[in-house]
Amino acid sequence: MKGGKYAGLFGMVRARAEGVHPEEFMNGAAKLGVRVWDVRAAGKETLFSTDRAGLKRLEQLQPRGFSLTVLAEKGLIYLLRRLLGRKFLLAGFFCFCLALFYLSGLVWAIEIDGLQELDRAQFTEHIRGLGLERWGMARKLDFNEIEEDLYLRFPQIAWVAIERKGTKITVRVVEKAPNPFPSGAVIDIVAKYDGIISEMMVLKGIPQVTPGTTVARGDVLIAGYIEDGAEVSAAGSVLGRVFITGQGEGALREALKTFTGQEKEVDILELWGKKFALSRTPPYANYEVKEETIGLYRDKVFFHRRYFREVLLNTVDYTPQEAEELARRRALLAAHGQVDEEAQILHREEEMRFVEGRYFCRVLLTAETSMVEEQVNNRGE
Amino acid sequence: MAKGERLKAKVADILDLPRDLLADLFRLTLAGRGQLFIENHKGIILYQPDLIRLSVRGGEVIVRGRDLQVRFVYTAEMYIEGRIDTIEVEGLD
Repeated sequence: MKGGKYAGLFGMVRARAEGVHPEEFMNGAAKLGVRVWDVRAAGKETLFSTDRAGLKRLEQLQPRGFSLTVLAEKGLIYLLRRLLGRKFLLAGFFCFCLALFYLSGLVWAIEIDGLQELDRAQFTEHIRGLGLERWGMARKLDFNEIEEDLYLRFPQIAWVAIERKGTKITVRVVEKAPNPFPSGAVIDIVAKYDGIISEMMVLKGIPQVTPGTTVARGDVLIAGYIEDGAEVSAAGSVLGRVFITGQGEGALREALKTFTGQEKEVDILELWGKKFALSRTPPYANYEVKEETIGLYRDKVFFHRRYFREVLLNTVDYTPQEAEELARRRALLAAHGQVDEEAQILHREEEMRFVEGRYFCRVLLTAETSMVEEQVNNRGE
Repeated sequence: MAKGERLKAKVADILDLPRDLLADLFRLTLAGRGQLFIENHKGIILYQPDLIRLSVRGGEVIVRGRDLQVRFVYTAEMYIEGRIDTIEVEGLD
């Protein structure tokens, strides 16, 4: 039996009591309220274990003519006492902690993420100048200040964040969306659609048309130019009236295709033009197939993977009114798909024909929309 | 048994309480032949590997066996391990 829950923590001793009978010793210990365990006795010698506090109390019995000898000390408190007595060990431990503290404050690794257009070497050199370098003191760095400096030094940066995790510093950069036009190019504004110019406002550039002018797609509306060696790109707003045609049809009886959700892959190996199916074709009555091919050896060996998706073909009957409405809706969708979503529909005309169980609808839309499309000036002006 | 003790025993019987609670009686718990737990003893009279005599109120408890060892002793509790052959109670009314 152990001597209490915390004997291991607060210390326990193995000791020997000499010059007294074991019964007398145990009775004395019990009287003092000392917990004693693992007692072994031989003549006037008693081996026992007790806790640290108990040993001190047992010393009160010594004047009765017996002696106590501590044979072994166990527990954390004794271990600490021993360690504290070893000055060089303590000094070494202190130096170790100091070294650990110092080394953990250094930057051991720097990772830069997200650089695309920016020059990595230039970026690295710049942050090194700000103190963010390998083996630099991480604790002295002000990340907010470095981030602000980076925004000023590299205007291409849209967002930057510096994070420290232990001894590693990560610089995350997001660059601004790249300009689709080459630098130094003069930009013109050209017509996006065929139509008639209804309104225009020129901010920069030379207007090439006036309201009322009929233009074709690609015609220059506002021209950019070069003045004193500096490029002036066209800028402004041009609204135009466009005419769009859309067609659609609706049958009185239509086959409707729906996916059942059943899918299967079939692998096929092609060797010198001969195909070998590695798995069975699924027993679907109706299906759609999509195929992917990987070339394994020149143009001799291929690996094909076919994706079979089962479909159900249902026949739907529409009333003449429903079929007509279907054709109209499809024609409108086709027409609307040709202009910007913001286009304002001014007028709509439609033409409906019925031929062999099908309604054919033709819609003519008159809409007002932005005609602006930017294009690089290739005329050399 | 003294008059006071008899009274305590009667009260314990009437209230259906364990007698050792009121009458300061000892209690022995034997686990197999190898472990004996004694509560409310009054001290050790003799301790030898084959014989342990314990003082209890009004008498003695004598434990005989082989390789008897006191594994734990405290104010009124004791735990003995070893091969226990007999346990005798002497001197009680």
